[in-house]
Amino acid sequence: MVIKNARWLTAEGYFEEGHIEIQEGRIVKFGSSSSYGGNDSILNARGCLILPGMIDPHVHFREPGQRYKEGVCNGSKAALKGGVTSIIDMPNNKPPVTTKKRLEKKRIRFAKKSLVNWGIMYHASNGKKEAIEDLSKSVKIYMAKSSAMAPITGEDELKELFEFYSRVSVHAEDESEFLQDGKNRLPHHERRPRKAVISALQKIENALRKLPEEKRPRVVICHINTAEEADWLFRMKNEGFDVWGETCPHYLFFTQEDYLKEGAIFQVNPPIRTKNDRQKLLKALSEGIVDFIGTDHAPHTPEEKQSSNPPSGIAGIEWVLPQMLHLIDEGIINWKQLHQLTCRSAANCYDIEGRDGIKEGNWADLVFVKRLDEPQPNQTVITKTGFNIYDRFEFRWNVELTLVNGIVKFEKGKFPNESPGKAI
Amino acid sequence: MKKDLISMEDLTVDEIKDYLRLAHSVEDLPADERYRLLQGKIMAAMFFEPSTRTRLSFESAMHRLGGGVIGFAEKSATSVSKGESFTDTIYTVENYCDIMVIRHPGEGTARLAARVSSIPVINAGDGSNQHPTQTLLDLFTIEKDLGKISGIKVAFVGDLKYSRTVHSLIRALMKFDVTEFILVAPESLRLPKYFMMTDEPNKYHFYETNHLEEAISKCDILYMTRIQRERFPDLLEYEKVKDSYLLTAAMLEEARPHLRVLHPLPRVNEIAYDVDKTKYAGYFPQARNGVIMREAILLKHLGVKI
Repeated sequence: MVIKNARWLTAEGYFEEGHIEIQEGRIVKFGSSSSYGGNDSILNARGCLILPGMIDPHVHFREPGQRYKEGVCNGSKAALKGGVTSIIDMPNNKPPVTTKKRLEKKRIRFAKKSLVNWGIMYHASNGKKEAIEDLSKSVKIYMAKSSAMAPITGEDELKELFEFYSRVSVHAEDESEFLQDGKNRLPHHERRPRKAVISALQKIENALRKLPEEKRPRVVICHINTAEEADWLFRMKNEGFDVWGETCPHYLFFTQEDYLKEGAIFQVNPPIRTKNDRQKLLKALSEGIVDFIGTDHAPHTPEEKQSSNPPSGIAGIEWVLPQMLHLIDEGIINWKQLHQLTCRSAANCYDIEGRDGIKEGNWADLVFVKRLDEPQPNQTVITKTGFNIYDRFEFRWNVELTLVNGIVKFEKGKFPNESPGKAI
Repeated sequence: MKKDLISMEDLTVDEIKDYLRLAHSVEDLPADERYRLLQGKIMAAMFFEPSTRTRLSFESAMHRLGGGVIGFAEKSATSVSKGESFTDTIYTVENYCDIMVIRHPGEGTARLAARVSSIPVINAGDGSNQHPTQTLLDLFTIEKDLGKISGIKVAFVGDLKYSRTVHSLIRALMKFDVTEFILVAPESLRLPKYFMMTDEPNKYHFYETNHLEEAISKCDILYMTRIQRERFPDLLEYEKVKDSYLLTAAMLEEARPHLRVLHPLPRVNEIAYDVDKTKYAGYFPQARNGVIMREAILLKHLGVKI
């Protein structure tokens, strides 16, 4: 296949022009002439910008066990619409992915059903050590309960896991600092207070410092939501620790005022916090302190969200690239940072081969985006929440077309090819 | 303890003033006295990416102080190209010299070098991250030309979105109580918004405009940068704006008498040659000030008092 009239983003934040030749799913050549073979199918990119497909290292597609909330097939379609071509799915399923066997079964499920490329994580359990690195992109440590498993909040338990695994992703809220509800139900962000985050960071840092340098794992702090985490990350990186930070769009677009006004649709773990936190996170993005964006796409049904005891989670994957492009329009980030935040850093952090940008030899995971003169009208919602909390923003960008491994999987709202993606 | 120069953000206003004072004293010293200050010392200029001006400026500074210079001008000339790790290069070269000047395309590499090295490290630019000696020489130039820094009005022109030089200088000027900035940039290359997100939003004023001539009559320093076609997501925009960011002598008619035009160099298309002959052209003296400031930096970080 040849993409003509292409204008694409490089890792340095520049735009190059010409045509892109794709063979067997990979980019084989860039050219500026029109001397490509006559037999190739041609895709015309005129009027669009081509971005590298986003890697979203944090999704909950809810399989196995809760397919009614989303499902791998539906979730991967939502991903395509948002410009996401690779995902990493979280292990807090029903049952949680705590064994090699469950990892293997979950891999079969994704290999069959996911339209995008995929990786999965393994759910750490207290004191349990299992060699799973071929089957899983990372080990997820929940310091707050997120499935049937008990949270891991002890410094020594953390240290033991850190010593065994080479790459861990941490939900950094220390459950032992959560407040119990009294008679009056506390707002979500008070029940899960800031000091739970601070305590979690302290324990992670202590555990890391107790280990000799060569035994320390790479640590990803998932869904950074406070100013304190951004400061901690900056300090630890400067000290030479192999720590990485992920934040999510909902912490960049909303504050706890939105939750107080509108309730459960903004209830998420960790909670959305203050205006100051939001400002500091935006600043951390613009200064390159936060490494990448994960959506933490966590759908629940409308009925669940409206119930008296609503579950936590926000689903936003199907708008994620327009959200990030909006941050460029707003002058928060530039194109180079967009490349890093949506693609390159996650590829480096999780060792994802051949998907760190638009270059020769890499997989043709490409997204055509278009800037609109008018904000886009309401579109159908794919994800099973059935609801777009971002509809109050006037995003001026639209994903027109998404290619995964050189195959057009999404075009103008349709899914012309439902073949599965590859394991990453 | 050894002292590194990695980022302007590490420096307090008083420390910056120290560098400026030292640069003024260096300039006042007779050449023969200057030449004795660093005799017997060696500077390694380790340039993992080419930057001819910065490298020559540092080498000139070291030679003027009587010191010796070793180094390389690009990565292919090093053992890194044979697979040696960056830290191994540092561990080796620190035995050959007294101070290291490092230029590297990777963000954060200068700090890494400083952490592992036992001798002072000077950052001569790491990726799009930091280039503190450029900012110090810019401040020195402004102070020399105008006699002061605080309270002046500075206009920045061109690529304000990506220019590391501009970002670093604006931050430093804010520390010096420069509160009024005029920003002249095309839509796609405007200054990132987080510069306006300060803790004192009422103190600083950023005026954004598309008209260069409007800025010229109102500022004391006109700081020019280059705009590149490859930075525009929309080529139509580039075609529309590319000619409106060229400064000519005729445009300077309304300028304040003490105005200085500065530019980090190299210039390509943004300043017409007829500006060179005007009294406003400050960019070549700026290059000379770069050597003086780098002399001051070498002296300070090698612990030599004058």
